[in-house]
Amino acid sequence: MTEFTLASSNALGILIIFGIVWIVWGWYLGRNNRTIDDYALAGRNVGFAMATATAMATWITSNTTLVAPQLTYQFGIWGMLGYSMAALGLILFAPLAAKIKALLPNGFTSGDFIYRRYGKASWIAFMVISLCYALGWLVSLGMAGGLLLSSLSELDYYTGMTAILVICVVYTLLGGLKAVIATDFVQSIVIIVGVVFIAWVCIDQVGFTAIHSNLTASQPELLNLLFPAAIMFFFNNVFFGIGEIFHSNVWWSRAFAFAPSIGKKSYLTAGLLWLPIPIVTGFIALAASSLNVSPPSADMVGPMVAAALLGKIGAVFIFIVVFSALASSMDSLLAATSDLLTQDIAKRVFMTKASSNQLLKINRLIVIGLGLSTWCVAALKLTTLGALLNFTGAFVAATIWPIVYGIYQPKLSGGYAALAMAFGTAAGLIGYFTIGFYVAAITSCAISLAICRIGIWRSQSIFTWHSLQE
Amino acid sequence: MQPKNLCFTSNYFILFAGILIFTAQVIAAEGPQSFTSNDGTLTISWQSDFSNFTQFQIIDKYGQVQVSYPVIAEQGWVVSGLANGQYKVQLTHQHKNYLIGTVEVRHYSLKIAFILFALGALMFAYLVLTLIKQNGTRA
Repeated sequence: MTEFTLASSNALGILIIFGIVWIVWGWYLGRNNRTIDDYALAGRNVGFAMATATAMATWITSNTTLVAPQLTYQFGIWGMLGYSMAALGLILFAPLAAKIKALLPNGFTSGDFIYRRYGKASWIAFMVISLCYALGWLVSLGMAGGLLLSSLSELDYYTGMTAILVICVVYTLLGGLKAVIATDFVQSIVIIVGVVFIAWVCIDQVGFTAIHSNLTASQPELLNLLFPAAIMFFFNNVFFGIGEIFHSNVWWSRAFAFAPSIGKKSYLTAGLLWLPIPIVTGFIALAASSLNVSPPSADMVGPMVAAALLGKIGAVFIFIVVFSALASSMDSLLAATSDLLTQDIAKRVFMTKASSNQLLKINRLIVIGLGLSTWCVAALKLTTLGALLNFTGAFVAATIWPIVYGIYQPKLSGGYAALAMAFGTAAGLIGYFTIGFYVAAITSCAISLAICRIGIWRSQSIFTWHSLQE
Repeated sequence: MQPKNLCFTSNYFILFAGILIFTAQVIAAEGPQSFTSNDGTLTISWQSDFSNFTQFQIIDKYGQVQVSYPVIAEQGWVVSGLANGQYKVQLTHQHKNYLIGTVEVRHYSLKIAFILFALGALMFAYLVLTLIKQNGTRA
């Protein structure tokens, strides 16, 4: 235990206050939800400010607040810049969001699009990838809550993990997407103010000169622009980020929920606003050696440096900021994954004639089920946070080209799209296990692209876009 | 049998397999050990007998202290950013030293790193061009 470790009573107090505020607010926002459209897509009329804030806050995850400092600590300048390139996912999704809304004005999920555009085989491949990714991300967020609490306070891993899950499940259950978007708005403000404040304190107390001279003496590779592992990591991370956003229903459900003409502007603005955040969060990791901080696990370097800079108050501060980041992602993921399961599995496969009320009830039951499943897997603590996240890169990067060509290229057929996703994922996983996480996403994406191009080259059919609206 | 679609990946693996290996995950054990790292990162897990010491140090080949951190009970260390070379990893207390082991840092080949970078850059440029072209023609 260090001098900045919070007492159990203080940590529990913060958790309880946090929980009550978010849950009551969620209930207040969701009290007028009457239909599945209100609950799942916030009435399809979200304005620019809320749309931008929710897109940005959702993308500020445990990755941004815990893994960006970790990658900076391991890969230096390249790690910091490489991580910020995940903003390209949001920026490149901007034109897609506009097109998606135009092609499917009454659409619900990304699975919905894949089914109508490519048919059943692709839809099955896509759903497997999407659910593997969603569960992986949910579990990583639960684990991050547990790790955060156990590293900054005397509470154990299970308390933190349970707390974040219970709070997010309850307010998502009560408020639906409306609550998710509104809490994201507040959480994004807390996160930005928090990370900027910590970076300012870091510069003020440690200073660029001290950081530079300490790094030069003790961690010289972090300043080296010809750092091979970091160069390898750069584009792998770009495609991981793009794959995460292009395929996930978290982002598609927002494209459907945003008011007409809002999606493109919101995603573009959110991407540009998000871009500097990993640089700020990552930067503080460079001060670790100057502050005599060596983390026991690389993903805890951010909170440890912040706590070392600000003492016990810093521990409370970073606790609130990171907990906000975790909550803003977990609620979005719970809402989007429950929509995907409701619309794509429950409605499409089991209850084709279900009413709006029935779907609403099913959606809520799925939110609870997802929370319980996440708890069970996260409790096992099978792997580390970074390893779990990077594993999903092999899955999501395989969907980039089938999504892009699905929207813009009428010649790609469902069979080739399914093959591209399946073989791309398999190649990415082989890369992950035989080489390392540096190549999982990029290999997956390259193989998927090659199969899609063969499919387009050999294609005999042309897809007609207006059939999506039927 | 390997599917034809994986030919590219197979060649790719043969090219990289001899060079890329995972970051050294160091498990402390009795007596000095030899560690290797390909990305300049070294992880040392906590051992109960480490509590007899006050400082954790990494010494370069010239005998200079490269990094020095305090020993905190139950916490190991992750050290990053080490340049190519051989180092000694040790614990100290007053004038007493305990050698945990030696580490050899040999970074991945720059040539291979740039090949991967170029592949990523090309694919990214193609993705951006596709999006720009399609949005321009269908606007």
